[in-house]
Amino acid sequence: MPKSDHLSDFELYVMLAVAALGADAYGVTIATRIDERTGRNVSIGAVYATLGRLADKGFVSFTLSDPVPIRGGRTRKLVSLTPAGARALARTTESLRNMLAGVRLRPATGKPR
Amino acid sequence: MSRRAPRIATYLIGIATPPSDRPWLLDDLDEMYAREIEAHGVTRANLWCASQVARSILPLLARRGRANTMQPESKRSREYLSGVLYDLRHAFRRLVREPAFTLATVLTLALGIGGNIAVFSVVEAVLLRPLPYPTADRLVIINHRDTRTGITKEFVPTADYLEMVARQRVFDRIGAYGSSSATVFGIGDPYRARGFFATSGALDALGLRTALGRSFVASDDSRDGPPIVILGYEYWRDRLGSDPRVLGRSIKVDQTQRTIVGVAPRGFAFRSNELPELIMPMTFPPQAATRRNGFTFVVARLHAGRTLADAASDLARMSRELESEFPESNRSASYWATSLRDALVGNTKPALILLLAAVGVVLLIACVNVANLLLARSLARRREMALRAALGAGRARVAAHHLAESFLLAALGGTAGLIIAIWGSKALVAMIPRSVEAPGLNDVHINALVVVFALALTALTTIAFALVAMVATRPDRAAAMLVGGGRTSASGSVRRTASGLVVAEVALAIVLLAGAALILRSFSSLLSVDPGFKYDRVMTITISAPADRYRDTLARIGYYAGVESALRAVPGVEQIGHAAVVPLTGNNWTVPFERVDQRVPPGERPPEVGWQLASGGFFKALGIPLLAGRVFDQRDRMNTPRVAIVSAALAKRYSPDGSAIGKQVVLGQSAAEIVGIVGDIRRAGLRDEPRPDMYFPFEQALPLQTTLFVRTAGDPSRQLGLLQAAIKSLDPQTVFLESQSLAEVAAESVRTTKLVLWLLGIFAGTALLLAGLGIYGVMSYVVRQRTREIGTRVALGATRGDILWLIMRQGAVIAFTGAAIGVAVGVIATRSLTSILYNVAPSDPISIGGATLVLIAAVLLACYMPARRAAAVDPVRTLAEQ
Repeated sequence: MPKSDHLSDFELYVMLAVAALGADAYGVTIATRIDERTGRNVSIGAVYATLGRLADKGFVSFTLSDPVPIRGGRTRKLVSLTPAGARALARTTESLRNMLAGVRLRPATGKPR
Repeated sequence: MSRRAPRIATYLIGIATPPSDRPWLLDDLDEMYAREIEAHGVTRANLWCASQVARSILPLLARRGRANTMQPESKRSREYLSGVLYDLRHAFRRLVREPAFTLATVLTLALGIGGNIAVFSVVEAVLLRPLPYPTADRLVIINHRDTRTGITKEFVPTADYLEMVARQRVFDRIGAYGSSSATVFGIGDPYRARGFFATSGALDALGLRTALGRSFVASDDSRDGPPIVILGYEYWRDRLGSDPRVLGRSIKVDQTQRTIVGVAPRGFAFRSNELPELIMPMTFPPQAATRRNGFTFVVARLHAGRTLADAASDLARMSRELESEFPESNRSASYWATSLRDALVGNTKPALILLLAAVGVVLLIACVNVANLLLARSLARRREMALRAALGAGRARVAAHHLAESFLLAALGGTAGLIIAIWGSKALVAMIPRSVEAPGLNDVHINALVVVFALALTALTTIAFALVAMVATRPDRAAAMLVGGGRTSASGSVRRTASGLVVAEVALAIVLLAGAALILRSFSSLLSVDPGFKYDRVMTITISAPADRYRDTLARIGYYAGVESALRAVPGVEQIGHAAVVPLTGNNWTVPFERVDQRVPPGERPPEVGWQLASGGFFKALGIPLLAGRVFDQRDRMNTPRVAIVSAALAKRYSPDGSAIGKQVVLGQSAAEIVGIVGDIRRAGLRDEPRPDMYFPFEQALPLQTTLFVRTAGDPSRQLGLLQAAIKSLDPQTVFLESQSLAEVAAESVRTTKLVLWLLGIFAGTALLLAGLGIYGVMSYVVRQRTREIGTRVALGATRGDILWLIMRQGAVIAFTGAAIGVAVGVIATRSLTSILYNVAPSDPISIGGATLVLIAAVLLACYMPARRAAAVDPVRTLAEQ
C-alpha cells in the first residue's frame, strides 16, 4: 500500500462524514457531523485544510451547488468521494475493523490505587 | 436574515485561507455562526467564533504555505504543522545533522551575546536603573573647587552652605548631610551603628517617606530642639523586632538621649551601599568661628523644569558674590553641581560605556564569523536552493526557511549566552571599585530589561544571518547553478563576500587589540609609578577609642602609648605610625598655607595645600624619605610649641633658595615651626601628581579616631589577627573601623583601570581568535575551490613555494586591507579612552603598531595552514578526480 494512502484519524473522520452525508456534504455539515458524533470541537479551517489535502491525494472532489433557494441564497462547495477515495476509505475501515476484532475495549478492572 | 460572523474573524481566517477556498469557507463560517447565535446567543457565538479563528489559522496556513512548494519531507510529518513550525523543525534537523557546524556557531554566538548581556546587566544596574529616590533626576550634589590649585572637593564649608541656602534660586530643596558611626546604648549591648546625618532639607530633597512616624521638619535643624532620631528600617526590624511602639521611646546615642520619631523606608540609603541604622538631624552652630570652619556635603533638588546648566550658572553667581563679599575665605572658591548619578558612578561611567562598545564589537566579529560559516555552508546548499526555486518556491518561502534556521542558531546562542552572562556579570561586579556607590550595584541581575536587550540582540543577529544566507543563495541565480553543476561564477561572489567579511573582522579586531594594548600600557605605567612611599608590607588599621573613657589628654596619651607597645610586642612588627588620612583613597583634605613673615595681603586668601596629621612613625612605616630636619618625636607634645613638616614641593615653594627649616607658618591664631622636610608623595591616588603637603604632629592633636600604619616583616594580612588582638587586649571597647593592607588600598585605587584592562583583554583575545578562525575558514574554502587549478599548476611545474605564495598572497591582501582600515578606525576610536589612559597617548604608535603586528601575524598563521595543504596537493589525484 502506497504511503500516501494512509489516512490520519481526522482525515478518516472527514471522509466518513462525506460518505455519510452524500449529496449534502459541505463544510458546515461535515464539521457539525464530526462534532456531534465524536465530541471533537471542529474548526471550519481544519475541515477545509483537510479537504484540500484529501483533494491533493485525489480522494475527494468538489462541485458547486445551485444557489440555495432563499433570499440572498448562496452556492455551496459540495464534497464527494472519488472512486479512489471510496477505495481508500474501504481499505482503512477494513483494516480498522480487522484490528478491532478481539480487542477488549472496556478497561481492565482492578483495584484502585 | 442570517447574522454574519464578526468582520475581524472573517478577515483573519480570510488571509489564512487559500484563495480557491476562501468564499466557501467564509460562507460556511457565517452559516455556523448564525446557528450558534440561534442555539446559544450572541455572546457564546462570539466566543465560539474566536475559538474558530484560533484553531483554523494554523492548519490553513500550513496548507497554504505548502500549496506551491516543494515538499521533500514525508507528508505525514507535515500534518497540522504550520509553515513556521515546519521550517523550524526542518532547520533543527539540519543543525543536528551537522553538529560541528552547530557547535562552532552556537559557541561563537554565545560568547558574543553572553559578553554583551553580562556587560549590559552591569550597565543597566549602574547607569540605567532609576535611582531609588523620587525625582532622582533632579537631584544634584554641590562641588567645590579651588581654581588656583585645581583641588576639587565634594564638601562645602558650612558657612558657604548656609549662604547658599539663603541665596540660591534654582533648587526647591537643599540640605546638608554626612555620615559617621555612633554607639547606641539601651537596646541590648552597646552597638556601633552606622549613622546618617541630614538636615530636613536633605531628607525632603531625597523624598524620604518614613515607614512609621515622621521625617525631619525645619525646626529639627536647630540645635535648640530636643534630640531626635529616625531608625533605619532594617535596624528597626532586626534589632527591635519591628516593634510599632518604638515611636516616642528614648535611646542613648553616644552621649545624647534621643527620642525616636520615625522609621525610615525599607532599603533607604544615600551615598553608600550600606544601609544607615540611625538617621539624625544635622545641625550647625548659629555662628561659625571662622568662615572656613566645618565642612559638609550638600544635596539639592532642582525646581521642576530647571536643568543642571541653570544650577551651574546660579552657583557661579553665588560663588562670585561670596568671593567679593568674603575675599579672605572665598578667594578663587568656585562651586558647581553634578548630577547625583554622575557623583555616584564616578569614572566608572566612561569605562562601562567603553566596555559596552567593545563587547558590541566582539559580537559583531562573532556575527561576521558565523556569517562566514553560514556562507561556506550555503555553497553546499546552493543546488538545493536553486532546485527549490526552480520548482516554484517564492522568495518569501526561501526567506522564511533561512529565517527559521538563523533564528534557531541565534536562539541557541542567546540561551547559552545567558548562562555565560549570569556567571559573567557576577565576576564583573566583583571587579568594580568599591568607590562606585550606585545603589543598583547591590543588585545586578538578569532582569526584564536585560532580557529584552538579549532578545533584541538575538533578533538582530537572526536577521543579519538570514540576509547573508539569502544573498549567498539568491534563487535568481538558480538556472546558472543548475546548469553549471554548482561550480560557476557565483562561487566567486561568495568568496568576495566572505573576504569582505574577514577584512571587516580584522579591522575590528585591531581596534580592540589596540585599545587593550593602550590600557595595558597605562596600567603598567600606573603600577610602576613611584608614589613616593612604599605600600608593600604595611597594614592599615583604623580604630576608634571609646570617647567616654579617654576624655582627657593624659588618658589618651596613655592609651596610644599602650597600643604602640602592645603592637611592638607582636612578632614581625617593624614600624608603627599614626595618621588621619590613608593615602591613595582620593582624600584631598587641605589647609591654607601662609608664612608668618609673608602674610597674604588683606582681602587675599592663602593657597590650600594637602593636610595630614601624622606621627613620626608614619614616615618610617611608609618609607617617606626625610630630606632635612627631623620627623616628629617625643619632643612634640600637647604642651610643647607647635611644629610642622612640609613636603619637598612645598619647601621649594616656600623658599626656593634656602632651607625652610625653622621658618614659621600660620596655624589658626598661632604659628607652627617647620622642623622637617620630607619627600613628595602621591597622596590622593596614583594618577595624581604629587602636590605640596603639610604634616602636623599626631601627638599634638591626639584624635579619638586614627589609622595605624604597621610595617611588618612578612605579609601583613597574616598578622592582622594578632595585631587586632594586641589592640583589643589594651581596651576591648576599641572599635575597629577598617583594616586593609596598603597594597590592597593601592590596588583598589587602580581598580577601574584594571577592570577595563581585564575585560578589554578578554574581548581583544576573543576577537583575535575569531578573526584567525574567520580567515582560516575562508582560506580553507579558497583552497578547496582552487584544488583543481592548483593541481594543474603543479602538473605544469609550479613548485611548492609557488603554491604557498599563491595562497598566502591572497590571505595577505585580506590581512593588510583589514589592518589598514583597522588602524584608521583605531586611531579615531581610541580617543574615547583618553579619560582612562595614564601616561600614554591615545594614538600611541607602539600600542597601535603592536596590535596590528600581532593581528597580521595571527592572520598569516591562519592562512599558512590551508596554504600548506594547498602546496601538498597531488596533481595526479586531483586531476584524475575530474
